[in-house]
Amino acid sequence: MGDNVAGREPALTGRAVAKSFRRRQALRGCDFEIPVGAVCGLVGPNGSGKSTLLSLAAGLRQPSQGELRVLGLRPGLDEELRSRIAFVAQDKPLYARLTVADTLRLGRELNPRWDDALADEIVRQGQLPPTSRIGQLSGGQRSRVALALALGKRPEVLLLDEPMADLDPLARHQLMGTLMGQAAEHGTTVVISSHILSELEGVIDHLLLIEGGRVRLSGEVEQILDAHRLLHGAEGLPLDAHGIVEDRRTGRGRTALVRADGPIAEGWQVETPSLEELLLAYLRSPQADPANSTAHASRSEVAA
Amino acid sequence: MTTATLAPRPATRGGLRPRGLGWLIWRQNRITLAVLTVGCAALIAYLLHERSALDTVVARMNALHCDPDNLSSTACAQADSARYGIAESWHQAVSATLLLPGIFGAVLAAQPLATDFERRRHLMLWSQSVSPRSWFTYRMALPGAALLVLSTVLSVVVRWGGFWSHPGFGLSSWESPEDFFAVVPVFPALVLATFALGALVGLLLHRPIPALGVTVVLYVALVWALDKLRPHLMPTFSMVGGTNATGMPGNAWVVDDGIVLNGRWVGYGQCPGRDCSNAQWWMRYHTVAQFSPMLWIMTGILAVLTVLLVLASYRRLRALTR
Amino acid sequence: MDVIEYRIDRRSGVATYLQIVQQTKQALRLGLLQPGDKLPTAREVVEATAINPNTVLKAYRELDREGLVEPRPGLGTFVRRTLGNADATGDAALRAELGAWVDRAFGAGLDREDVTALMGAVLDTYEQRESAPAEQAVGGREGSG
Repeated sequence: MGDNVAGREPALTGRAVAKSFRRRQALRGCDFEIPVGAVCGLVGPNGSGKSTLLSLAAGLRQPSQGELRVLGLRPGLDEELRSRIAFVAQDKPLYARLTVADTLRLGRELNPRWDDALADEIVRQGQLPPTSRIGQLSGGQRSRVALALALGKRPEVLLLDEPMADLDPLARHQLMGTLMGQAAEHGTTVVISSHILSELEGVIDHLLLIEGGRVRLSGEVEQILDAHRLLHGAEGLPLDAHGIVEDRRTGRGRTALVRADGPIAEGWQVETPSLEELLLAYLRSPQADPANSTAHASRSEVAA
Repeated sequence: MTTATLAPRPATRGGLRPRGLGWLIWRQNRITLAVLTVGCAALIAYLLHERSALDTVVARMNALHCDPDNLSSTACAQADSARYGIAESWHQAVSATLLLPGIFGAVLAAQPLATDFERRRHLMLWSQSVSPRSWFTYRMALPGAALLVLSTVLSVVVRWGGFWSHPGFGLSSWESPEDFFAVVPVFPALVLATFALGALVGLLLHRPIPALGVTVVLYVALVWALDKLRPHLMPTFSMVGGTNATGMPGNAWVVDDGIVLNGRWVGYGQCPGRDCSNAQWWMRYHTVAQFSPMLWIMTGILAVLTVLLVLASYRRLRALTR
Repeated sequence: MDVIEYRIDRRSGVATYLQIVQQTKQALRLGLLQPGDKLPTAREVVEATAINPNTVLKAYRELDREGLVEPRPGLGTFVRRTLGNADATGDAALRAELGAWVDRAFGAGLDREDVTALMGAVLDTYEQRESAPAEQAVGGREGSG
């Protein structure tokens, strides 16, 4: 899957995407590209614009400026795209009075490419009685039905807004497994927003970090991690001011996350950060210069 | 294999089986529509029963050769009071009928649409392979068609069975709003306009209880305003008579009347302090021949209003996806 | 059932694909996997572990590159050869040497934790020395630029 990514049209492309609501600027100047087949984490603090970005990609809203394309088409405007993307909104809105079976029937009636067997299987894995009403289900069970409704569409691009929040660890693991299984089977591009960082570790291979409506990091996770260094050392050690993402003092020690493109002075203990360490460092220091790291990620030194 | 257990595919035989969006809208509205249909059927049954009771009373009065203007015999007086009793309960039933458009608009359009938006289910619906536009079109068209049939049947009964229309009754009464707005063809048009109004309110408010209340209040205001407009739909006739309405055509609707003082037409309010005993009466009225044309003019106004409301709803829907 | 079940520890600090590679090799050494065995599909692995499918594919590519498994298009990924005896004899010699060293360490008054720490430190230094040329290359380029 990772191989056939190259050379294809990206699944999602944003060019200077901006979205403002009556009083609020939710997104500004967002540039990003997510390749086909990627599992992309959309990360950022609450209110950073994650949901807005997803609703633009799902075609539920239109950008105020710029251009956002999904599979080369304009979401919400190009009708043929509707059957090719699926979106699960935050809180998984469903009709509480419909039964599980009726909810899946809704999917079948409203989607031309509906895969009955798949939707059934996902629901059956959760041991949900088809006759029970959505309103009687637990949060995890509801999420499962919402996911079945989305995956039954056989989407090429799956957009999930905080899908695993308020799920117990077992349900979370099961559903993430189902999701990844589908991605493996059909090469589905998955964009998954979350502020639970541990939920994404090991799951995503692409990252889109947004904050205050702007893109701070975008690219392949491995390349982003390789382009950063976690430094531990004594307080007095010199640190090139350029490229510091975060610089923390702990007692006599000092921990810094820096971008790897500058020289590192002797004496530092150098590590490659984990995804969670990297994201936390970025989220803790909102003032850090919003490096457009698409440039970073495309550096060939780490592509091998 | 396992497919069949969860969601059996609908058999291909029934061509009438709703599919696609039609299925969803049917599934969501069938209970409400069933309840409303039963309610309307009960109302129709009651109206028909009252009408047959009226027939019986009028037949008895004819058999007794009662003179409606001079009820000397006890039997005639009893029959006449029964006649008025029926008129009263008919009036109440038709007044109840006039509440229905507001209820339809509130419970079939405003409240469910507002709930969809409040619970953010529109995000789920619009994430299926249907555009918001076609969803809304089905959402309006299917219950709208059901309401059109229901309200037409009901208002045909009201118009046919109306006690004022009974040949043996001879009492003009179409001046009261319910006897104008609850008859075909005005009533179905009023139902559709209120349904469209409810939808627009639901799209604007996104909160079910306020949407419900606002729809009902706006409906009452609409009927009030249209009732004020009603006398001006067609030109009135006028006449100057003696000291009562003699010479006026039967079943006419008197819009305005007063007395002639020094050659000027004034209201009765001018009388105190003067001698009005010899003054002539004037009146402006609509003849019963104008009744049907006026109903159609009102229907046209409501149709235009409905179209405007639907257009506004589509605009609002567009704004919600901008 | 599946011939192998991967256990992914996200907090171990070891890259996920490496965990799969290592666990596969371990199973080969222990004889749990034999030539001709079919590895679970990417879908099966990610459904059980909830990890990224590309990670599994990357691990399988790595195993393929090392000649341990081969992908048969449309069928799956199959074990080609085992990892075994030669290593086992090598292991035995190394193990004996290490045993002798541990005897000396305990003799010198170190306890188990000291030994583990010492071992870790030596391995770290070794790894740093291994990766040093690459680091220097990066530094040099930046310095001259």
